[in-house]
Amino acid sequence: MTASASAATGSQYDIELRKVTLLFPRPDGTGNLPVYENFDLVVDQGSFTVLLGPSGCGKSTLLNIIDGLLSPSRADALNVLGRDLRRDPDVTRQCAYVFQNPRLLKWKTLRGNVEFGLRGLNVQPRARWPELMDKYFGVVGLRDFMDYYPHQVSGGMQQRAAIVRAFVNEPRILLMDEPFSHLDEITAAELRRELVRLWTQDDVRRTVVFVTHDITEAVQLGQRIIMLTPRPAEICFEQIVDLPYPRKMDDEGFVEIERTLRRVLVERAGVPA
Amino acid sequence: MRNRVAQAGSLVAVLLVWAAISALVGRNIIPTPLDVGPELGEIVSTGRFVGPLTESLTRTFIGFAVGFAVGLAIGIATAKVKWFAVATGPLMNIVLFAPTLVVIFLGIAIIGTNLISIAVITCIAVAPNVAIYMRDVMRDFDPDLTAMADSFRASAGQRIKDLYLPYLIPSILAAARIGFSMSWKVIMLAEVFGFAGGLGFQIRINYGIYNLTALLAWLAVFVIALLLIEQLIRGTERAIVRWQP
Repeated sequence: MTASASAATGSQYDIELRKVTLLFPRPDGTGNLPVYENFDLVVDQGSFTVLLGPSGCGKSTLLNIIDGLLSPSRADALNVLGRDLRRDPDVTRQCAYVFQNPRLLKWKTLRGNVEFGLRGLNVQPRARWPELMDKYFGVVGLRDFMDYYPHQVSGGMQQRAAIVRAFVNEPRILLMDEPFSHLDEITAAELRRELVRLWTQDDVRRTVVFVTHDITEAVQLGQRIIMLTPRPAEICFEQIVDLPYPRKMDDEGFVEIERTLRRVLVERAGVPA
Repeated sequence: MRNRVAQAGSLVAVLLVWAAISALVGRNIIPTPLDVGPELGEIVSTGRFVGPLTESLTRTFIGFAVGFAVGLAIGIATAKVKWFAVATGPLMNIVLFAPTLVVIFLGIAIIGTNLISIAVITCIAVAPNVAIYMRDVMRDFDPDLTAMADSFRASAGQRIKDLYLPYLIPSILAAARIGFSMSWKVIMLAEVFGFAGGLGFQIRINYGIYNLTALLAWLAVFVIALLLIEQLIRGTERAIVRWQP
């Protein structure tokens, strides 16, 4: 039996976290700060899950745990794609990350930056790279800008390139950490529409875990919205959104869900009204 | 074009100030640019400058190569290895603040006037500056990019090739430019105070016979060579780092 075979868990979820505890040592050395305590989360295959919560509650930390970049202090289960992360860390090659800021290499063209991701995650066969890049640069309207350096394009285009860098690997799981929060509202709205199109029209329904503190954004994107409390983070509310895509912000159902989330955020997540 | 005019303007300003000083203190003490011009022309046109210039340049290159390599290695080690930084910290400060002339005198007295002492003297003068510059550059590396590379599972080789080298190369070139001009000045001083041959030696003998016109002409050769070399390094820099805004 190989190491990776023994890591199979039989989990039916794409992501399954059970009793995850994460302690950060306090800076003044007076013990530990619990970020998560016995935290549970499961994410279905092909779903779009939004983690909504106040700043600093550890939403990004959770993405880092799922991506294997951060090891929790304790966990009963830490399964990604049915494999135990701790025994088969390579399973996270099936995940791709979009950060808050583009994090592009300024010495590489947009094409070079996207290639960096392909090379890192070792996407095979290599012969498909040009076709993959062409496809995803095309979807976000950047095909004519592939050979530009980051400083030659706008912030919105840089973030588009960062999204291409993640999608081009055709990962099973996409982790997105407030990817539109640094953009102006018009560009952000445009990119949200593009993301929905990319996700709904792709050949495979990828699993997306999207972190945000923006309620409207959460309702626009998510099928399932999970609200977190401040540290130690707990799930205080869950909302299923079954409105069809693309969602209209003035739709009655949309407004109703927004209102509910706003109220719950005040009542349960300790956010002042 | 405007830049060229500005550069030419500053050169003219230097010549004017020089002429003014010479008018003020007397032409017999400080010769005017017009006195030095023909002397410089003669040194250049007869090719008399080639020998001393080659000798100084050779020494500079040797000293610079050693000093730069040592400085680069120390800089990277200081940024990456904590105990090394702690251990070498005070030593680095001593070397950094040691007067260059004292280093030159000690070098000549202990090792003599040979290529080894050239290497040692320049190394002591240049390496700490290069090391501190490179250390600070290494520490400024954006941790967000490291996290990005982590998330894409970039291998060590990929990180060196696509992350660290492209990040460091502009700084390495800048450090080389600074290091080279420092070596050039140190070698000049070493020649003025002990070594035979080279531009510094020309300045020393002309000072000895109080031929200030020739002294200034040789100094001009030194400055012009330095400017040309700097332009050369800058040109290389621009060609290599085209991605910069």
